Amino acid sequence: MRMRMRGGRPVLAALCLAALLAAVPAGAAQTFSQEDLAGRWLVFIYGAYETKTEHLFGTVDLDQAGSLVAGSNTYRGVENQFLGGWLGLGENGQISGGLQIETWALAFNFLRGQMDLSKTEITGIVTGQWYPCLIRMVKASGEPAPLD
Amino acid sequence: MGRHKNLVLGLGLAAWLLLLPAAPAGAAFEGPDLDGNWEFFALGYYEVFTTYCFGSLTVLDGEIVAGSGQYHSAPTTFRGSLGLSPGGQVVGNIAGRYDGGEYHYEFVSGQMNPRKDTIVGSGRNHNWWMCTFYLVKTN
Repeated sequence: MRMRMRGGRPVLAALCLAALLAAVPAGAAQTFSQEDLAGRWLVFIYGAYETKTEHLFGTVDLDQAGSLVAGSNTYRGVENQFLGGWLGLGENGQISGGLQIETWALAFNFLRGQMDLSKTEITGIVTGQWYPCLIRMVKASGEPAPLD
Repeated sequence: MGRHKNLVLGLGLAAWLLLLPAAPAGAAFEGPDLDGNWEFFALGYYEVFTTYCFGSLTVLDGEIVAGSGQYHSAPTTFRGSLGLSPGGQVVGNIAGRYDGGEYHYEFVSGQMNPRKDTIVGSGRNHNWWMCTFYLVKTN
């Protein structure tokens, strides 16, 4: 069968295709897998309880399994290392697990956490020395993930 | 030649249209951008008092129509309403009940990011303790 296209049809077809693709909402679903945790993350934690405050900033490197490979931090003004840790990533972006630091062998375990749709940020509430703290982790490498 | 010219023109226009959603600098915000499922996180502190809260909530037409999580150590459900300006500023409140008590967190200043998947805010709770809020889109 011989196909015939008039001059204007390629333009129309291309525009229709583009319009359909562009119509995908910004909040489309995302698929998460454990490997999305791999890489370097900057970590920021803040919490307060009665007259005590705690704050931490540092860097962690996680492997494909979400396990801590290396990392250092400053906790309440004291420089120290991350001793260990592991983070889990659920299929909907939920974060579990925790990170342990040298000072007092303190563990910041996620009570609730969420990776964003671009897979570059993690926000959550973690256990602290005295009371739950707010944690933010920001990916230091890689590109934002496209939406599925 | 004319057919090829039109094809090139069409593909060019298509590429331009595809690039539009990826350019957040001029992103306009609309109320429906709030619709969907969000993870909510709040932490506040005043003098010697601390408050925290987290959970999942669903927004439809600016109203929190469903939601549950944890207020301090108690299970809670969420209600309330949120508003979004054309510039992405977020106002409103997230309230709830727990163990027979009530609380609410009120946005004083909030902003949705250009990707429309995260909201960062500052405000207060029902006791006027200063708080930081995060809402992370999950769908």
